[in-house]
Amino acid sequence: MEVCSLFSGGKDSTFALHVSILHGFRVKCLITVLPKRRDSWMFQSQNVDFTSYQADAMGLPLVWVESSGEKERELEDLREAFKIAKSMGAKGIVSGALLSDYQRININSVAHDVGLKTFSPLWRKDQERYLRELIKFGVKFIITSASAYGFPFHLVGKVIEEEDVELIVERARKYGFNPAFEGGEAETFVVEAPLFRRKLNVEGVVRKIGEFEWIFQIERIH
Amino acid sequence: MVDYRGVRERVNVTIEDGTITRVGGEVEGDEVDCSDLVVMPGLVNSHTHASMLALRGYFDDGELEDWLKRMWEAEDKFTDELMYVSAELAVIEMLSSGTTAFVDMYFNPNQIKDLSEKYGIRASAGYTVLRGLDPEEAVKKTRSLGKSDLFTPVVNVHSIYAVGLDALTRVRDLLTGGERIHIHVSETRAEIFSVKKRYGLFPVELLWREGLIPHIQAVHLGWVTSWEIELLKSSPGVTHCPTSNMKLATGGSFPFKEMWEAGVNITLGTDGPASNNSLDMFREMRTAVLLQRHSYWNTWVKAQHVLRASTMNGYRLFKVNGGLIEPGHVADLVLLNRYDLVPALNNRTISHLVYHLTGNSVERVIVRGRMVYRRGMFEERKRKLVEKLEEILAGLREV
Repeated sequence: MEVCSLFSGGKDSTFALHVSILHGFRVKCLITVLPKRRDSWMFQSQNVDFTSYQADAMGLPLVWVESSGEKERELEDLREAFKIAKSMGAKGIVSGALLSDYQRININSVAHDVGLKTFSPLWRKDQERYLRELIKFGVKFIITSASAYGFPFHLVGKVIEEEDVELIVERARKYGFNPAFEGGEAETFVVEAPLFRRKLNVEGVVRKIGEFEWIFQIERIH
Repeated sequence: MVDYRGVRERVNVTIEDGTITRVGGEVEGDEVDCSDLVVMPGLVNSHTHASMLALRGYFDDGELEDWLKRMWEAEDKFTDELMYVSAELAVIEMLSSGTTAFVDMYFNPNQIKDLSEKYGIRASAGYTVLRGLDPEEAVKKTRSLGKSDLFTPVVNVHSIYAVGLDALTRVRDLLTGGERIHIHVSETRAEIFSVKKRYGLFPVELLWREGLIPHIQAVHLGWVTSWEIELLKSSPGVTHCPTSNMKLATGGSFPFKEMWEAGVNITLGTDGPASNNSLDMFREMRTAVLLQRHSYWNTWVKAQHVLRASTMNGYRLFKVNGGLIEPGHVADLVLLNRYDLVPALNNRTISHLVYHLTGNSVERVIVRGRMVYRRGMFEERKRKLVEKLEEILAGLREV
């Protein structure tokens, strides 16, 4: 099946894309939605304007769609993105939805209207195990923002290793946040993955925004 | 003997007046030698359309919407005789593969009741609110079927999308006591969005708002949202039909683990013979586990879960104390050929039931303490019915 993959550059959309390729799907394009507001309900906002580097590393065409980021209008923006995907020959949309039915149902609602199927390979998978397997399977990512009480903020801006995952899992259990960041506890940027032709070297700065909110602002990728 | 809790060897099961009274070493009354047999509780097929056996293999390669259209076109040509012959063959297939109770949705519940009493199998059926049968008439006619020791009327409503909310609430307003509605819910993506568009809520949310959940046996639920799962706790049971969902490419994912953990009474069904195409509950149990593991990449759902869903949970749906081999439970039992469970080790018996056996290993079936099936006993009748079915189908163009 020909698909386009919703792609924020984070770990979930990257892994979902990989799984879809392993399913034999032919990827016609990546779709990055750029929300104008940081508090978008549907889309990741942190550092998504750097997804072109990842698309280039995978040799896949990238479609950029701007979104207002406003809750009511986001679905219309998504509809436009899906129409483009369809015009490029896609019959389905791949998404990295993990547990959020808000995301999964909205993606399906729009895809249904446009006449596209959906594929969400990470749906309801065990969250701790998923995080561990990402690292094991060679997906390397940076935490680009974190905003959960109890989160190990010193990991912001760092490429996550196996021992970091264990710390995240431990804190998630202790403080009750989702270890795979399904609730937006943190956002990520993938720098290396099995389908990347080259590793991305990312430079940037870590900023403390508030007592429980840190970000890593990407400045340069080479 | 085996039920979902485990295995016991060399025990006697004493039955009096259709109920298990003792399980242990006692020997009393007439004896049935089961030394080469394994005893398990009867299986409940919680959702089927028995008479659709006539359409088995008729149209295998359409997604639900196209498939349904083709089925409805073909069903317009069905006669009472065709429905009866098909349902009788389906009952024979179910009984001889270990099903002791089934829930049916079709247009011939009077025939299902007749067959239930003729063959000694438990059944629940009723007139279906769909195309031309209004709610008042369906409820009235369903009630007139009457309850018996083996048969329980149930009000069948095809689906919210097919009949509309008004028809459903009219059924609700007519219900009394423990009367139940058996309905397809959240089967496809198209369904949940059309219901949402029309009523502003997803199907289960809508049923909840209308106070229907305690009366509803919701079938399919492949597209249920996470926030709807809790709402189903007060339902008498929900039914998963994994083979049919896969065959019709409905693309959802039945949240077995999440529902189980929420305390929802999960049951299993084959769905009709035109969308499965088997009526064998052993195969359905196996498929249910495999689909969960394939969808969720873990082994949380195990053989015990689906065995319980197909036995004890099914009996709960029927409001009958059954599904376990213990005193007080109805004597609805299936006797299996011990030599089919290879290697015959106690700790592998449940595994064999779910992953290895098919209904072909069933030697005898007991319902309410009465032996209603013994291998080979329906062969002659079956032959006649098959010939009759073929004769009727030959006379119907394009079916």
